[in-house]
Amino acid sequence: MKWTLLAAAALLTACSNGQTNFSLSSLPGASIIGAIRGGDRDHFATTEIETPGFTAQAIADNPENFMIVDVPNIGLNQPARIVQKNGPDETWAAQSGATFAFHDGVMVATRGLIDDLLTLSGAGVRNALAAGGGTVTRTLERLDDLDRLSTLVLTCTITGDGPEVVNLGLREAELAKFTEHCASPALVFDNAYWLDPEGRIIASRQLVSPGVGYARLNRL
Amino acid sequence: MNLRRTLALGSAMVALAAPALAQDRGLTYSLYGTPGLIDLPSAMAANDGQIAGTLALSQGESRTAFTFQMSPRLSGTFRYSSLQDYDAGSYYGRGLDLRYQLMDEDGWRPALAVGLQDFLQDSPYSGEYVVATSTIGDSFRVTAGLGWGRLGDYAGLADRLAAPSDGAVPADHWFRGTPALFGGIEWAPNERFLFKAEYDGSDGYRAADGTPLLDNRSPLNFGVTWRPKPGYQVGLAVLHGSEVALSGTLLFNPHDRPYAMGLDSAPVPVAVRGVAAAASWDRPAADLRTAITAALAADGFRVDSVELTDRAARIRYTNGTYRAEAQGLGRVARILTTLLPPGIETITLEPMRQGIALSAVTFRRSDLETLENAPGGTRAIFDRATFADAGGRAGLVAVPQDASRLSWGIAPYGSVAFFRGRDPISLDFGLQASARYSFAPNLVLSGAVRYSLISHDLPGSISSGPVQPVRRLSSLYSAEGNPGITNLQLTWYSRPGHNLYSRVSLGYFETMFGGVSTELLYSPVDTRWAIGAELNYVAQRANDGGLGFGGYCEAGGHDYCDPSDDHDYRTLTGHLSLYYGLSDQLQAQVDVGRYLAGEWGATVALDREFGNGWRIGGQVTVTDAHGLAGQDDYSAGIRISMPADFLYGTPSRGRSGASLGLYSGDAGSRLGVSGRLYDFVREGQVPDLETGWGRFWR
Repeated sequence: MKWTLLAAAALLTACSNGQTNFSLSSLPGASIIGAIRGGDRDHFATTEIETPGFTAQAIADNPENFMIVDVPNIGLNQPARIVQKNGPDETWAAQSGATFAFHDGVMVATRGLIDDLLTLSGAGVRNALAAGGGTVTRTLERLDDLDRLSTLVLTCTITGDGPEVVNLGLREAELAKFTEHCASPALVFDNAYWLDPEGRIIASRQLVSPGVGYARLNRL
Repeated sequence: MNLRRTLALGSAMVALAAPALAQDRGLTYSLYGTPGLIDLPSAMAANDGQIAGTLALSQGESRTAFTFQMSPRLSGTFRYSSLQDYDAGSYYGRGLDLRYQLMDEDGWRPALAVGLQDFLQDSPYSGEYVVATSTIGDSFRVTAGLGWGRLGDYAGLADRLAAPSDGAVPADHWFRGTPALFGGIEWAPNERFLFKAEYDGSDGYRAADGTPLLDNRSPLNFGVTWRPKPGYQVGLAVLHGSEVALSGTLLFNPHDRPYAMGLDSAPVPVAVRGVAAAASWDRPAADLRTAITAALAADGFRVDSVELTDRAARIRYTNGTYRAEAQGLGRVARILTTLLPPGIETITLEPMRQGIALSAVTFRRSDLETLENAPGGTRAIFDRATFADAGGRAGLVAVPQDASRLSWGIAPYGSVAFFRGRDPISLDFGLQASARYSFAPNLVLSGAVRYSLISHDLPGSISSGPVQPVRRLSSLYSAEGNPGITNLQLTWYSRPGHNLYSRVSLGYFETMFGGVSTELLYSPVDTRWAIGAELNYVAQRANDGGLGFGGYCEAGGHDYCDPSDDHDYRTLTGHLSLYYGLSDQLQAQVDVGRYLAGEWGATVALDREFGNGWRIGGQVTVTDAHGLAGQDDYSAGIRISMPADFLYGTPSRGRSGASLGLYSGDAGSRLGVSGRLYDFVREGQVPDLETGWGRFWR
């Protein structure tokens, strides 16, 4: 596909001006071959924003502010730290900059993962977990290839699987495992949650998208 | 191969039902570049939006075709063909096909399609057909049809070719003459190979005098198509028992985005007031402006000016990074929530292009805080935002601009030109140096110089005509103007009034013309229509690529113009334009006015615009100079524009584009001037914002 597109781009870039011919596109970015450039052209230079470090000391000082994010399908295995908290809503940023938004520990959005989870309703999941299981209707939104919203309504069934010892990276803990089976005519997936005795989601495996797959999330 | 195979996703844990568009229906392309058998069409339609480029070669003949599936049922094909020994020489022709699928397959009911081949003119390829196709099981497909013209009895085609042209589309020739049956079968034993056999009831190619162009030993053709990987097809065929044909097809579809939503970095999350450590209003406004400027610059935005009051903020900025202006709005708004004092509830964003503001979009900050990750939040934030024309400069405090006023670049270029002089195809490549200097954001001097690495010879002669040679001397410019200044112009953009936009350009606009160009656009921010007026006074440039005018007729000591041609041509040209969005995917434009050669006429253009930035369309021009000796009966062309972020995945406002003339000449030519208003003004207005609004929270 990439080579096809490059060939197409070469064709589209192969332009001249005049009679009965391809005409030059004067739009920026018409060149696909390496170019020498100076000054600030249409694509402005960006500058790095300094982000607090993910130092061992910082993690050791406040482990509750960090988690390990593992998205094997895209090779992402990094610590993430909390960057925004508003009641039950939290946003965590991985070291590479990708962000994960949660409602009460249930992942509701991601950004920076190419095929992101635009939104997935999380309300009701915690109640079902607290009740030891149940059925929840969740709404998932994605962007299609034409940047249009596509919405899926999923029926999710949550069942308790009993206690399980989980390696959280810095420690092991016995946690209660729950499995969430979500299904719609177009998408089927299984999330998993591990809860501590206080009912907090300490570890989970939650779907990002069909393209990215699952994210494994371990609170430190 | 399973012709009805559906796409299976690789994840064992995730099952995603295949959308219809992703279905692989075992569709292959004929030597005409259309979905079909070997040299014959079928009734199958490609996936919506599919673009196929086909090169087919056989003894004494080549066809280069570009097919676009314009809608689920309608497809169009542009084809450039050459046929040796046709008429005391070679035939070179451009043609356009249309095919409409009347009904798709449904169980045992076959697909049915009707097609017009090279229908705008009478040519050796002109023909019409009705065809039915049915897929049997997973591996077989059968096609049968009835054809006229090229696909029928030769006598009918010969009558068409002998008929004098009256300058109109020869609709009265369609489906006339004695038809012939055609048909064939396809067999796909596996996913990579597809074998074909067809019966061609027509009696083959003939030269202009009716002499067969090939040894038609058999009406049967046999072929095989190899599909080494998705998007590639290679075909080999034996035609009429005497000829071997080779073809290759490249496929791509704007629906198939290689980088999903793109490689954009994650945006800054919305900072919710009362919880996050928001800045205090104790902070001096100047410091706040500096912080806003730096934070937005880090994400690819250039702040022009800022207005801050106790309860509201207004930011005027240029998005230089994200194709969809809606995505820029979303990212800017989120960044502002991290910087603005908690008391500010209203955020107004005014995106700019070319130094002028395009619209004003106002958000309630509390909406941003509650809708960021909420299902339905994308639509809700659009519904709750207010859209208006950009406000005045009163209250805005300009931000010092650190960026260099000068930008420049050197890049390779390439070009393919058809029918330049007497060459059916000419290639060109070389280096282009370009520079741009901004006296102000809306006053820009820009130019480019090209050096071709290809030596272009002067033509022996150039056909004469009754119309001023505004385009037909282009080969002289290639030969004599190397290196040459392709353009050098000073452009001033302005907002003269409510919903009004203006442009004044002065200089050398294109290789062949320079002068003064003015434009005024009335474009309300929330309507699907706009009206523009353009008026230009231009002179024809010298063909040496320099700064002079006139002297374009002479080259190599020879005068290529007719005595009646103006050797120092100056003209007033301009158009009234109506732009109208027929839907979120169809954009129409009508231009009426005076063209470069001084004639009056109109151009109608229609583009299919995909939400991910692709644009594919065409236009037809008719003027009172068309139909004169040496001129086509009308001008027509197709154009395609691909967004750079589709190709590379990374955020970009760049585009690659090309336009290709099907029928053109001096008549119907327009001035080529860059920076026309509607092309960028629309990007900041409600219809385009709504199309790209899916990316607001990206």
